[in-house]
Amino acid sequence: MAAKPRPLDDPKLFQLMAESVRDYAIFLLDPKGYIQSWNPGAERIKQYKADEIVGQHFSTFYTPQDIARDWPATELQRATMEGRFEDEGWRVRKDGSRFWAHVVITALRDPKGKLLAFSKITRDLSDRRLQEEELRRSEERFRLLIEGVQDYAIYMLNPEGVISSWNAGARRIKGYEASEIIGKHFSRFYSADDIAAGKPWAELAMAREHGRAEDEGWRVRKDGTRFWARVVVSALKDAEGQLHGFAKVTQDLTQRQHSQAVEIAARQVQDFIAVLAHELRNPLAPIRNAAQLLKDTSAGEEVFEVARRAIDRQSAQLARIVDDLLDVARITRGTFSVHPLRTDLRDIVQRAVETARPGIEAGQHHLLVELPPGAVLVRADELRLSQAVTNVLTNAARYTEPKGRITLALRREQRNGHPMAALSIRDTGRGIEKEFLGSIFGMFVQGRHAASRSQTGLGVGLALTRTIVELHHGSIEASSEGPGKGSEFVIYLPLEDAAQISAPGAHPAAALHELSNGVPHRVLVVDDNVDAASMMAALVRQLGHDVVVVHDGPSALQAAEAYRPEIILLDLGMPGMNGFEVARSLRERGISPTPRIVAVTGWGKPEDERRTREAGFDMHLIKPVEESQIRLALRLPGPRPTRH
Amino acid sequence: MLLVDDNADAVAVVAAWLKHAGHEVHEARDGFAAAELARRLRPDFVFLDLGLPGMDGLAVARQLRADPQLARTRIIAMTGSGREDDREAARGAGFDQYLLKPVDLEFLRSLLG
Repeated sequence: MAAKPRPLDDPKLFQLMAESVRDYAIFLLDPKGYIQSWNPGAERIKQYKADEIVGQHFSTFYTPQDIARDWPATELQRATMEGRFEDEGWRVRKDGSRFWAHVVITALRDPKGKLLAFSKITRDLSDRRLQEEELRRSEERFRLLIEGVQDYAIYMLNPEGVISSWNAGARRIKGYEASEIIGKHFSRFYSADDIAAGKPWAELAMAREHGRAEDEGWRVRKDGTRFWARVVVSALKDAEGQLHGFAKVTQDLTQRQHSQAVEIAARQVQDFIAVLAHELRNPLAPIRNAAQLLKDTSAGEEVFEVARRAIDRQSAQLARIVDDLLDVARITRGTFSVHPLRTDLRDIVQRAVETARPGIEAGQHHLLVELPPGAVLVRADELRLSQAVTNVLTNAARYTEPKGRITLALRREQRNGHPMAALSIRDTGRGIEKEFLGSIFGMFVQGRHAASRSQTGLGVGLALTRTIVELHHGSIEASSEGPGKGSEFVIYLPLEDAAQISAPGAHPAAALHELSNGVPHRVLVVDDNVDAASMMAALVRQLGHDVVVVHDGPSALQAAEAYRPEIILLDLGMPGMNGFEVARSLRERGISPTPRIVAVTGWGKPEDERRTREAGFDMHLIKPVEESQIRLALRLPGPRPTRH
Repeated sequence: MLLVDDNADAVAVVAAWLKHAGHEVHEARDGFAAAELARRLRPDFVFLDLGLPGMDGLAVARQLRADPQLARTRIIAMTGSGREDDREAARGAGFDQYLLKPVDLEFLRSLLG
């Protein structure tokens, strides 16, 4: 039964379709590749008119590179063999411009299979291609940008917290190479305490809930050292709200704090120089004027005397200012040292009082000195310690209204179970505001009231005093009821054991053989536990060595510079700056002589020992430390060891 | 004239110079004494060191300027600080002139005529 011919079966319709379509180039090639037909789409895409192109070979549309490698022929071959060939590639328009094309070549055969022609359908993908290209390029640029950032660690986590990307900043701040950290969990950047408390996961949960989480806290580098970080975790979700992962940005704040500290220090130095210039002019003026006076020989005896006296006294004042300056330079450079010998603190006090007397008398103050009957033995550098006491006395005289009272009292006291000498200097002067009490021992701090620029002096006296006292293993404290209510400064110094008075300057015979070359070493004990530190120090002292004790990282660094210990017993677990950071900082500073740094810690596993070794420690002692271990730590081989 | 400076030698040397040049010179070592003396003596010139303890030079100048009987007195500031804002403050307090230490004595002599 013949079917009713449907309008759509009309072959003419197909021809109409091919000839009408504008979006696709649809045309026929003969088996050799010559163009047989054309359509509006082909004209639009390739720009040739039908009469220009029909009869030409279709390789015209290909780039020189494709023609060189015989690609058009290959395409036809493939279409012949497989029936169709599909490809994407560059094609060339009539005006020479290129476009990205999607091409399908289909072999047309007659019922017997003979190849009649090829149909070629070409689509211009330019727009899409351009967009994709743009996207890829911008993604690439973005990736390079992120990778290149040095100051921020920017990296990605998958939803579980596993690291999936890394940048230069992350490597610099945290210490891991990309190859060793990608694929690991980000909780390793947290301290053990934080991990135990679940902090890393809590941060992710917060980011998941609220989109982001911010935190400031300690993070751990690859080498185990800690740094203070500011961290932002952002959840990455797609349009449907599905969590793809997290982006994390970490900033190392210690750098910023460091540069802020440097800025503050630089400003302080500038202010100091300004004050210095001012202070130098004061004694200089009378000297210059005296020189002018002396030029006039007719002046007479009295004038001569005035000039001479002025030059004498004012140049002495200049000398004092210069001495202060030199001391400041020494402290800053770390070459300030004291040479302690066994002395009676009462003698030092007398000496200081004599030196300070002119200032006290100038203020018409009443000075009361209370000394105990027996000798107060300390190990002290007489010159330096009396300088320290003089500073405090001079300050008392200077900051007290005329006809005030200054009381100096020396007592023996017990502090933390140790016998100490307590030297108290009390005055009825200006007093100190509460907010300044903490900072008056700082370098370059002028006067007890920040506004007092009328007072002389460089503002280094108390800083010098504190340095000297601490180098003597002592401490100094200031207290005041408030402005106008006077102040009290107390210097604490460890008392020498009376039993050791037997021979002046000699060490107990029993301890001598412990000292490898018969010479006591300088030992620095660092532990935030005061009792532990004291006990360690006492033991080391008993073994005949010189000991300085500090209780935190920053003090340890300061003491290392000023005291140049040969051995440092360094507790690892301190709050703030821990032992690792101290060791690393010490090694970086390259202090000479290179100290032996001994880790003192409760951690005793092989990997802990490896960690300390890698951090630059020379020895690893496990708490509680036995005496034999300490002796071993204090034994330095014969000639002083040099490193590198 | 009146010389005021807490540094005894500074005062002594300049005083010796001025006395030798024939001027009548009085001395004070702090702000209170200076104000007191100035009121009593009504000097032609007052040389004031700015960095005085107690009442400082600026305060003394203001006090003296507030006194109509001292209108003819020339008040001259002497100081180790050469900063602009210090000069401004001195001008504001009523100083006629601002000298930087060390003061050249020859210059001083010519200043006084």
